[in-house]
Amino acid sequence: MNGLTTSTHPHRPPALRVENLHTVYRNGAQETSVVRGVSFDVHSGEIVGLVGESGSGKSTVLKSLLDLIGENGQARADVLEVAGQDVRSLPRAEYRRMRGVELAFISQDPANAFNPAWTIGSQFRRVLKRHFPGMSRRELDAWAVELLGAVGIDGRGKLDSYPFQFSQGQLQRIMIALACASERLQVLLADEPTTSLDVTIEAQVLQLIRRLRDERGLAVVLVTHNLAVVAEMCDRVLVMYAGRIVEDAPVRDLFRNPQHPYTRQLLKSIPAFPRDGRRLHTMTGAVPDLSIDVAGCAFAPRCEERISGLCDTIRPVLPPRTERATARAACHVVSGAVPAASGGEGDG
Amino acid sequence: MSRLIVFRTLFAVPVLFLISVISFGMLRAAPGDPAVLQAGAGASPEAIEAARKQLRLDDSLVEQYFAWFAAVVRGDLGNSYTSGLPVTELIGARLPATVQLSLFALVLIIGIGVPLGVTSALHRNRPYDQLVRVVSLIGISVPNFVIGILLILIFGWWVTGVLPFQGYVPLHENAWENVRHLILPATALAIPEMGLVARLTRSSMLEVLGQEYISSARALGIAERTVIWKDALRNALMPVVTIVGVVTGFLLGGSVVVESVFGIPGLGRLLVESFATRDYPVTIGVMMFIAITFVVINIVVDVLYGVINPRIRLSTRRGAR
Ligand SMILES: Nc1ncnc2c1ncn2[C@@H]1O[C@H](COP(=O)(O)OP(=O)(O)OP(=O)(O)O)[C@@H](O)[C@H]1O
Ligand SMILES: [Mg+2]
Repeated sequence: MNGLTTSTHPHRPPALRVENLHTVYRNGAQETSVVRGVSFDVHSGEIVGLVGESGSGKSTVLKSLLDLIGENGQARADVLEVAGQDVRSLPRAEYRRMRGVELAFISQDPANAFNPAWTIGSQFRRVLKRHFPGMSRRELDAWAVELLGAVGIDGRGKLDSYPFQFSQGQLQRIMIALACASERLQVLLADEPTTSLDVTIEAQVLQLIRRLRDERGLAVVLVTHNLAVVAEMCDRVLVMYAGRIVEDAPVRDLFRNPQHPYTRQLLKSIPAFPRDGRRLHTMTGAVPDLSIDVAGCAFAPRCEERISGLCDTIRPVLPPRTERATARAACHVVSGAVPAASGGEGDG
Repeated sequence: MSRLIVFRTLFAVPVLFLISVISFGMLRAAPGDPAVLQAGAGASPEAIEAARKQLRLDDSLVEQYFAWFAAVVRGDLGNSYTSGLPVTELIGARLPATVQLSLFALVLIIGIGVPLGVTSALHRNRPYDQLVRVVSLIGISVPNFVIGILLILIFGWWVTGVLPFQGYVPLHENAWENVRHLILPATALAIPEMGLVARLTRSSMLEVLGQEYISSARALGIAERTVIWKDALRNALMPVVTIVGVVTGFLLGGSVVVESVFGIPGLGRLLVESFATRDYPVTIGVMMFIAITFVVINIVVDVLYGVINPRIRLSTRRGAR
């Protein structure tokens, strides 16, 4: 459904492509559909932001891509391609072996991302052993120090230290070094990588991610709550609402000309600096209950521009990407549809 | 680390002192006159009076306590009223059976309880998990002597000749028979604690499996087997280690009953026998011995916990400097 064209890399296939991803969690008899037909692709060298309110399913999208959904959940997609490989045709164990090799993950909580019982050195060694099977212990340690150096940490003599002996910011950089240790790495999934860090450290870590993208041509998915980070880091932005992507836009367009009413409300809730004297916009209503599937647009109940009789009955879909219109939104108001002319049901 | 040991030992001294005072007092408050029992049934009042003198029972309680205490500090627990043998010697003779029984039970508790807990966590909410949870709850709720009597019924009545259900054969006499005789009592002693350990391991394992670093290890491509049996298990066992000390205390206490049920000449039975004859020095000697053992085991467990937990190990090392 999706043209594979982007302005940046028209020829190569994307490093990550997912189509129609659905993820449900089961809790006893209750099923919650958390991700409801998400499609997107990320090219090498591209940083794609994934934004949306808490509970919109951003982390679940990343976890689904990594096959990290626990036993009480299930993810399925029509297409899942990582580094040009059709992952769905691989045995599950083999796909799981791609994690840490072609595909890496950084979480928002570096303090808990390391096993507290082991030294940093031993956690490096066992990962590096996968990438460089022939290396001796001494070579592995030397390589670990090298990788740490690349993220700005002097690892000499620190390999025998335990995770709790480092600061949050150091741990996040160590995690990035560890996650990106594979020389075949193509896709980096970062889930709010700087949420737990203070502002100066945040800048360092973001800088590091950008450098990795530049030097190694990684395709990066960056989940964040911080729209300033989006503005600074991302090439393209996906806005998620209630398990669906409601807007997909180049970062410039998103800030200059947001399409979806939800995106516009999100932008209005950023404080202006210097203060413009206006009260900060707070979004009304709450994220919808994901265990019920409404017929119309999930945002309609909170939308100030909803067209009654349309928005609450027919679900708007994200139009296919064309080269002409690079920004697109799943919204009847934006597409200027009238009830009779609106397209059929489908996945957004 | 050594600081930890010294600190814990110093802390244990007043605790032990308190235990000795309380048990000494309660023992004397119990009905029954050792002089009467000593002199035998139907003895003349003169004989009883002589026995009373000999046992120094006319001294005040405080005097008696300090006489006993002064001897204990010199390592002398006194002599048995009934046999006249030194209490230390009696304890020494009964110790091997109890140590063996407790160790055997501990091996069962850890060797079966931990794997049950882990596999139960891995099959969370599936029939296997539910079965393990129900069975371990039953194990916890049924007292060990009931389990003991049940086992005796089964092996002494229905399937006779498979396992011995009474008595004890010393290890140096016949190792095979020694083990065979310990199977049932160790099982009776172990089952309640096994249930406890299984449940604790299960919940601890589930908690660890939900931790961020487990997802993180998976995302780094670490094999699932390694993630579960190395990453998760090691951390899940930390709380289990801390209760092993408590469990050992239960075992020593539980052996009092189980040894009597299975006719094993161990410390527990010595305690029961000595109390029946109001053989005070033996009773209090055994009680103090068990209390000290319990305290020492718990210090050892604390130290071990420090060894496996780097955060504690490093902070106490730093503190010692
Ligand atoms: N393991 C789980 N079992 C059941 N429901 C879950 C589970 N994990 C997440 N959910 C639910 O899925 C929904 C989306 O969660 P998710 O963590 O993906 O949101 P998010 O967009 O990342 O939010 P945040 O910005 O707070 O991180 C939430 O309603 C959450 O309650
Ligand atoms: Mg999240």
